[in-house]
Amino acid sequence: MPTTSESILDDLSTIIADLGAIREKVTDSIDRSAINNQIKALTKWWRAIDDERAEHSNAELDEAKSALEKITRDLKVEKKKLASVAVVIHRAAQAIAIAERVAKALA
Amino acid sequence: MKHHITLHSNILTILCLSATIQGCADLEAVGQFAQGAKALSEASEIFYDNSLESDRQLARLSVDLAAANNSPECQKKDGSTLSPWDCAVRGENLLSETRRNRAAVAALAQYAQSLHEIATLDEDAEVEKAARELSGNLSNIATTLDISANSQESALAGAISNVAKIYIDLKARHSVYEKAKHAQEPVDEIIKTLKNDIKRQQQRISIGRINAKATREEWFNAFRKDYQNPNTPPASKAALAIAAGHLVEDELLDQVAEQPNKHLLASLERSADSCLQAHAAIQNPDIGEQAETVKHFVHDAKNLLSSVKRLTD
Repeated sequence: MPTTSESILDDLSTIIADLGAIREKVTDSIDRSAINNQIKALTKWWRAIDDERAEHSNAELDEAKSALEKITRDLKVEKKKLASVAVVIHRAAQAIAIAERVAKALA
Repeated sequence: MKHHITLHSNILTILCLSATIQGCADLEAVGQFAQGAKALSEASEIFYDNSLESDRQLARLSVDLAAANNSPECQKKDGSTLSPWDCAVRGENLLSETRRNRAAVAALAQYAQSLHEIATLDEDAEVEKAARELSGNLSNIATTLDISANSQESALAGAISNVAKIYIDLKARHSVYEKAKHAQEPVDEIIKTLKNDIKRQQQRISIGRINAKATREEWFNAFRKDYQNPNTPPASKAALAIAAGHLVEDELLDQVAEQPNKHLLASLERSADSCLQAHAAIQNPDIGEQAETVKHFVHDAKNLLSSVKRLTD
């Protein structure tokens, strides 16, 4: 498996969590201070790598969002079409009324 | 006479067709899905705000005034180095990513709302009005042409409006199921991203807590050391005691917030999972027992939103 920013972040957070657990068991103040400083240093790295990771946009997500927005637009168009059924019937009624006037005029 | 037989058989066909359609799955599930997606989107907005807040806390407690000008964690990929200040305040990438991902979840809610609107399209009154108008005009022309044996206007109006309603209903169902099928892949991707973001936030909170504790302990010990120095004047001692008190208060506040935050993230993850399952379920016209999946999603998303609101109030 290739090393990615995500996998480095996962590994770092595991190490920080392990150090945190060890610290809770250490009572010697010098050892504890050393562990605290390790935690602080690793956390700074975690944040720096997280920042690098977030720099790159996610092409798949951008594509997914665009696809969903297109589907939403299509649905709105579809809704408009369906809402025009009454208009179609109304136009048919008007056509019949005109036909009737023509029929009367011819009679 | 032939005209009447045709009309009656048409009405019979329409009545049979109506009965068949009522046997199909109702579109209520789509409406429920939209409600759930809206709740999920609202909750995720707060989630993304919280992610930025966690990052700010992490940045505040990671300030390293002793760091050298070219410390390695401040180096960029292109080899250049950020100034100590730029390195300390960097967070724009996360901000941009948060905006992008939040917008994607909002697009999911918009899509669900459009599905809902088409599923609940109610044109009955307009269709009936137009059908009555058409029927009246047909009757008039029949009278003018002297081909109307008896009055069938109301039956005709009913038949036309039924046909129109059935047409709308069938088309709406078709659109909903077809579009939901097309949307499965993008919905998958957006939920996958949201889940990745939840996982990253879980890590951020977890290491943020460990780091905060380590940093505060070091600061506390430094304050204590100076406080116990016999050369420290009383006013400085007071300032050190106040600063140490703030550290203790902040630590205890973080401890109080830890459990609700973890609970919120777990709840968000659960809702994201059930959103995916519910979206798969609404693509099926014979939703049957899977209707429960949609109900679960709505339940999860509403619970999530109310716990988010409790947390932020």
